[in-house]
Amino acid sequence: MMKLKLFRDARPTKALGILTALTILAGLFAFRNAPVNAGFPVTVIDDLGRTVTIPNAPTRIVCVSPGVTEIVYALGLGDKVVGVDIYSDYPPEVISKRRIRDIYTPDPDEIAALNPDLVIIYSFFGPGDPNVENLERLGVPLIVTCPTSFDDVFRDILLIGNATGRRVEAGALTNTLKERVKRVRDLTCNVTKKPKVYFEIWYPPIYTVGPGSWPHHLIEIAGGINIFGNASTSWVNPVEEEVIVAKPDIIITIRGMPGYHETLETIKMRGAGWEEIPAIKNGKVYSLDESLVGRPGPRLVDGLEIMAGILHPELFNVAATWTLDLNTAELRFSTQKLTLQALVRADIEVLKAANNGSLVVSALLSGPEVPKTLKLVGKYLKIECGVPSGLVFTLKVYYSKSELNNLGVSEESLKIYYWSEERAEWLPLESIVNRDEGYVKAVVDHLTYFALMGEAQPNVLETPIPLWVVLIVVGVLSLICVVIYIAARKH
Amino acid sequence: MESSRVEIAYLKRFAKWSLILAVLSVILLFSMGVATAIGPMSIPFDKALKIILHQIPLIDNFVPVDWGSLEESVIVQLRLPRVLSAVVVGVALSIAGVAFQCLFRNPMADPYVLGVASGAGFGAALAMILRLGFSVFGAVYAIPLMASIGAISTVFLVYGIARTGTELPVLRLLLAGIAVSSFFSALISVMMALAGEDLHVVYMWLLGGFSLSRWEYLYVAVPTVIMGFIILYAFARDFNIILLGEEQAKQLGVEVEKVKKSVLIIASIITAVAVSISGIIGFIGLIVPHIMRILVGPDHRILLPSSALAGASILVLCDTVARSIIRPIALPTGIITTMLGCPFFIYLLKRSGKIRI
Repeated sequence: MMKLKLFRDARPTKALGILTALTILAGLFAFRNAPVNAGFPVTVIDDLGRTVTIPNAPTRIVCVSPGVTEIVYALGLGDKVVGVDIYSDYPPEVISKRRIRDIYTPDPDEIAALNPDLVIIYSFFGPGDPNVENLERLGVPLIVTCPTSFDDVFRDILLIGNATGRRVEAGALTNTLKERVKRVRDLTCNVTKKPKVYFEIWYPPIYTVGPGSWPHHLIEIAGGINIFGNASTSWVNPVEEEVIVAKPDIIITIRGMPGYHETLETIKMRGAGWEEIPAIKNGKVYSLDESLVGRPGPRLVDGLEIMAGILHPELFNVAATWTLDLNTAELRFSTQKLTLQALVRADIEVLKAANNGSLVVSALLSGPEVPKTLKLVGKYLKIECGVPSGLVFTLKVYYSKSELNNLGVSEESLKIYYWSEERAEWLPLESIVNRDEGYVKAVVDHLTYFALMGEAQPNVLETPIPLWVVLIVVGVLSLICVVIYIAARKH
Repeated sequence: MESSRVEIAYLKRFAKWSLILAVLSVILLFSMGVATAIGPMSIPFDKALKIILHQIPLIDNFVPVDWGSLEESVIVQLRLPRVLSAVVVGVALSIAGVAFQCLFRNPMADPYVLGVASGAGFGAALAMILRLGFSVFGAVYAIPLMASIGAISTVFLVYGIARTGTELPVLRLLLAGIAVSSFFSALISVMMALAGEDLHVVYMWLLGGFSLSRWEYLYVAVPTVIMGFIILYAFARDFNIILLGEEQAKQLGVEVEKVKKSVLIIASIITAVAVSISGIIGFIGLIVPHIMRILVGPDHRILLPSSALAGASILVLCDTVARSIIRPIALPTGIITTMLGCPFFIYLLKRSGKIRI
């Protein structure tokens, strides 16, 4: 009885206790969820003028365009992405994501299978895009981007930021990008001599770019003239003579298109007037990565800076600079880190410094000549410091596998090299290659130029399938013919 | 009296034919001249002519050089191969068209009736997608080579399917051609779907054009087409008789089956060569024979050479229009041949009232 009573008495107390605990827990959860879900539901207006309401902070995002993928990753939402299109290859982490096969007409079924709570696509067709209606039927919030200028790209970054609860990050990112574009515009607005540029996408037959294409935009902003800027379409296929008559000062070929790889040497071999083009005579043939000049995402600005460096090397050798204020007090207990993101992806971690001061890192588009046996991966880094004595830091430079493939550089041979002033040559540093994360790391104790380089592999034949396959195909075809011939004859 | 009347009729006909061929030759030469002189770089007509004359051995010493090396390479390396390719393809498609329409006694027949086009397209797509032999021949040669292999294999395939014993019935040939052609078209579509962007070159190529012309192709194409023309011309009288019907032709002593086989093979090889240079150019092979039949009559002795000359002129002019109408964009030539040719053909059709073979 006593026991029972005790229990009876205890019950309300216990219940109260549990209730309190639950309340606290709920409060804790609410507190934890509060910043994530703050501002939701949110209503945004996308590039086609559609009003889209997103009820909760998205946690399962599908990106159907490499540009969109890069924006979403740049906003730090990589872990929320559940699917990307097959052309998305940057940042390298996307390799682990599920793929949407068709980017022109995304398959609603494929997207539905990923169970997304936000779908972001790029519209190739603009207003009235039939894909929009198709994907809207999924009942999942759908954002359609359709950028045609830098301002549109910035607007899209803000749009995606708003829709995903990354308003602050999006604002910061667009401000940096805007500043970088403005810097290029400011430097090129007064150039008196604009080089004539021929931008090649394919040969043979020739495919090049006209107004409305991203490379054309970049050429214009970077202070050049696209020789096909007067064309009426964004893709142009002129006769070869048009290029020869236009006498371009600079030729830029695209890199990273399967089956197309043109360099100064191969263009020279075309004969028929090509060798008379000023760009060929002066050796001004460059190639630009397809992903930097055609994707409406943050890296378009990288492409612009590189383009500006090619067109106006006198103005743009220093593509970007970063500074780190060294603090000896702080260094006594920990290290100081500097992360470089535009143009070069690198981390610098200062281990020791004797004096306070500032460490200035610049990414350069040109530097001391690289020996023939080596190939430069990425850009040159110049690291300077007011009082360099006693300074020790680690330098971590990231690379992408596709970049190495394009350059024909083997991963094992990658090393960070430094420029030795006394010997006037590039010397290797003791480097560690991390193949999983895709970086090379070295410890540095003096300041000069640095660059990631690798040994050029002997040119691997471009044909995965050699002549004997041709012969087999021909053989099989003729065999079929003979069999049918004999069969027909018997009848 | 009687024999002299025949002789006069013969002479009259000979004079008429000579006149027709002379006029058509002048038109062709004129078109070639215009085509060579027109281009993004402005080169005066007389200078272009002098540059061309300078290339011919023996005469070259009499032509004073007053032009730059750039002008010369534009004319010699870029424009001439293009114009000559158009001539060769025009001749090839027109005479193949005449031969096929006659053999099938069908006004709908064209050089691609036996599936040459899709066979060639399949070969080109295969070369493109697998990068077949690119290292051995280079992309510039691998595609035409694979295209002609594809085209000729297709013809033999169709031939083998249609053949019954020693006979080669026309209806079976047509149906086998349609079946094989559709099959290869489907294969091309599958490959395009699989390869995506890589195949835009094949797509361009299927539309037909001369942007890849070079002298090296002509070294193979010109002799083949000339040989083909000579052989087909040797059959001209047989063609005239076959038009009466195969039975009548047999009774009149024509070895119909033999003629049919040889002509099919020759015409298909010529078509394959044309396709390998220019891709698939529509209209010329179908409609030039009809136009010339309306203009010069159905006798193959004049129909063959006049179709050859007219086809070449039309193609050269169409190509010139294609590459200069909306500069700097060069349209695929096949679009222009169809757009300009069809209205003209419809006009002739309306005027002449009925169509003959």
